[in-house]
Amino acid sequence: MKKLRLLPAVTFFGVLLAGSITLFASPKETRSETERRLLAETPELTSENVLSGRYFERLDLWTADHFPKRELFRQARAAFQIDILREHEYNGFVRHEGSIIRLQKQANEASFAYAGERFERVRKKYLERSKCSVYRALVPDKSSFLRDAGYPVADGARMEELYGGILPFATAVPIRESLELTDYYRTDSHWRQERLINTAEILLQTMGRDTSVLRATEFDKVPVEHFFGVYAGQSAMNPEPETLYYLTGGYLDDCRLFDYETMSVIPMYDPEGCDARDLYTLFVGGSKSLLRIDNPNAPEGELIIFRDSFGAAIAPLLASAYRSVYLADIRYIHPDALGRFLKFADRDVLFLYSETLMNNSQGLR
Amino acid sequence: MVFSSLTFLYLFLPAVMLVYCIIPAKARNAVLLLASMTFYFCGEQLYLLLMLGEIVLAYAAGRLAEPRSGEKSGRGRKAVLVIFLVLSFGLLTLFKYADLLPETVNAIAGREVLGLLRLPLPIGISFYIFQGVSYGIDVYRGRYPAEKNPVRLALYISFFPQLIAGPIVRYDAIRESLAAERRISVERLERGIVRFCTGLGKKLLIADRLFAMCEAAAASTAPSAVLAWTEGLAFLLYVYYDFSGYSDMAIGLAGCFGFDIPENFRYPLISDSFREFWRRWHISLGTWFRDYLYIPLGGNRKGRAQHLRNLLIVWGLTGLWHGASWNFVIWGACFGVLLILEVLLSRNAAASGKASASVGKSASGNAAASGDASVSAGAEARAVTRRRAALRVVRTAAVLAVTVTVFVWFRFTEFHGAVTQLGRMFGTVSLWSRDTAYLLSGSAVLLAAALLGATPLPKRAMTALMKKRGADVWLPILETLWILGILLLATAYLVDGSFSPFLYFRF
Repeated sequence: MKKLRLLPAVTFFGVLLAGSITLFASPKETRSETERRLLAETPELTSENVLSGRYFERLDLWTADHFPKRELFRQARAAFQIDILREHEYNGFVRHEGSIIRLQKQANEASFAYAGERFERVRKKYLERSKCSVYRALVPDKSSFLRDAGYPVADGARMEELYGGILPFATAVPIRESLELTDYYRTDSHWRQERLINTAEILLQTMGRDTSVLRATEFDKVPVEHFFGVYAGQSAMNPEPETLYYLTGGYLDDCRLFDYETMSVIPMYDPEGCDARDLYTLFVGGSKSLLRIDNPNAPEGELIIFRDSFGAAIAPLLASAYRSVYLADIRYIHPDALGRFLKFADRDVLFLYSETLMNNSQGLR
Repeated sequence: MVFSSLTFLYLFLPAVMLVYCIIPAKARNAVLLLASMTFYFCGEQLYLLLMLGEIVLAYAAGRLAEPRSGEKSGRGRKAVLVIFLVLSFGLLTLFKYADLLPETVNAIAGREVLGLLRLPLPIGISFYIFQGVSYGIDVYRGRYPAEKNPVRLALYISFFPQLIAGPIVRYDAIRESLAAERRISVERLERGIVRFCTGLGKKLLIADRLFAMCEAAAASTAPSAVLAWTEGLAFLLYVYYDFSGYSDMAIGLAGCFGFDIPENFRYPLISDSFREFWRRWHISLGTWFRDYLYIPLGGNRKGRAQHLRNLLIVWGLTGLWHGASWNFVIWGACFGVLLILEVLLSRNAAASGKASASVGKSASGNAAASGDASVSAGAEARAVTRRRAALRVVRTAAVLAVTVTVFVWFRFTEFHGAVTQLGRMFGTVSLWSRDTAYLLSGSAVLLAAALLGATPLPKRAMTALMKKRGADVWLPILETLWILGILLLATAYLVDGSFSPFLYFRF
């Protein structure tokens, strides 16, 4: 019996000692692939660091970042919080109808205003004296579909209002009604290309383009298995992998994608060459500053899309009605530099941004 | 460094325990002192000197202010004590309250009239200064002799389990343990570890979640009265779990090292009066103010007016002890006023109670005369018990509700914030909102668990279980599972959590 009484103490110190030994003995990663961030570096033991207290602060961060079986612990925490405490959120994420969603609770008006300044610069430089027809469409955040389910998320109508406020010179394209939660990946923030035909049709119709090719095309859905989106790791909710599809066939087989960064033709979809940690980047070259999709079979007409990553999946569909579709991401290229590659004369211009980016627009140049 | 950090749990604590267990008993005080200094140094580098200064002051004051046999006049000793108190409270005032007056003047003037010192608050200063002061005063009063061994006194003031957030320990509570050659006992270790883990769970699994809930409620764009009350209750529970969790960890750790630290909380949220609440909440602070301020001021012995004045002074200062903000003073003063009201009402009740008791006696006399005395008395006793129990529930709920509103002053450091929140609680916003349902449904389990855990019911259940047959076999197994569960979950929270400081860390 006396030996049994030792059990709590032995367990306690056993766990602590095992933890500390493994902490030092286990190999160290420099990056967390699931959270998509760099992990803390080993703090330098210098007199300056010690006397300023920085050493101890960094040691705390290092210990947390390099703790053995860290991912398992993160998942355990998420499970405890969601399944035992029955809380709705974990690190700002919720699970709703099988989908993992980061709640966007408020419209960040300052961020919209900043984006507005950047767009105004584009308008003054390129659009003011051009004959371009300018349009705007706001891609709803996944969380905006949860408002009716009682989640405290930002009002989509307010987001549209703010977006209209910063792009008053553009004609609104109402794409919100064409989308629902299942049009997005379960484990990622992005929308699914194979579910965007209706949305692309609405965009083309509003911009006065012919949608018959898009409607008539029988696309091939090419599956890419074992897709874990950005939310899978960040939420620590341990979801099942899903299948990502990209569309080929019909007019798309004749389309070419030109990359202005490398001044070369690159694959429209590149499941092998894209960032394996983020398979969504397989669409039209991933994070690129300026691209052009040429569709030799399409009628005359060019479209310039100012876009974020959501534009990558839908641009091939919009290419059904344009000879050329330019994709400009002003997070990676300064708008002033666009004039060297693009002519803003008598073209359609579409500002296609997600609510997520408009709410966090600091990256726009 | 805080207990709820991986650095403490997986680096500092095992190292200290290991060394503590393998060195001879005689050297254990020195090891604990070194560990305590290292512990403090990890959080405060320069201010370690400040704590050492307080230790030197307390040591010198003890030696010089100690009563000596054959001494004719105590003036010299008194002067030493006064100098010690002035220096100790001077340090506290300089580092904690120096900016309160200029900030107040600037706020009234609406511009910067007086410059601010902006000195960072040294961790745990209110706790170690109060411990040092209590030691100095007790030695001066002759309650116990001055400590001649500087290591023991230094360890008393800097003992890391309770250094940064209490409880405020009196020297006589651990004097014998400090002087003794403490042995490692399995029973003590077992008790201490269970207590430590319970505190760790209270802090990380409940208090931090309650705080997150408060923050979510505060950030809501659709406030409501119900949401404000829920936030208020969650905040009160958060303070309770955060602070009592820390106290549990301190008591548990100290127990492992062979010290018995007095309890700091005894289920305060089941109190049916404010007097009882303060006998159960932050006991070490309450008794400190009672023994070193309230009683020297005259307590309740010098007439009603002075008694009420003393209560207001003590509670105003109790509030101020918590931080350099007028909201804390208001918080303390609110409790002062509530206690005064209770004193006044209880006197009236006592007077009317005597009258009703005499009526009751005559009624039972009549019953006895009718021959049904025993049946009637039994039924009456049961009815009285039921009435009393129901009354206690009502009073407890009322005390809890009022305490929730008073703690609004504790939550907000700015006057405006507290007034806005009180306004929300009392009807400046709608009763219900979209966010209210969301927040309540997402925190119902947490709130229910927190409320249940704040009562003695879990402990009673445990005590009952311990009396069952075979407890000596399955109890250690149950404790082990408890420890393992909490330790692993706490680790899960820490590896994926942001910094988790204690609320009382900087008091």
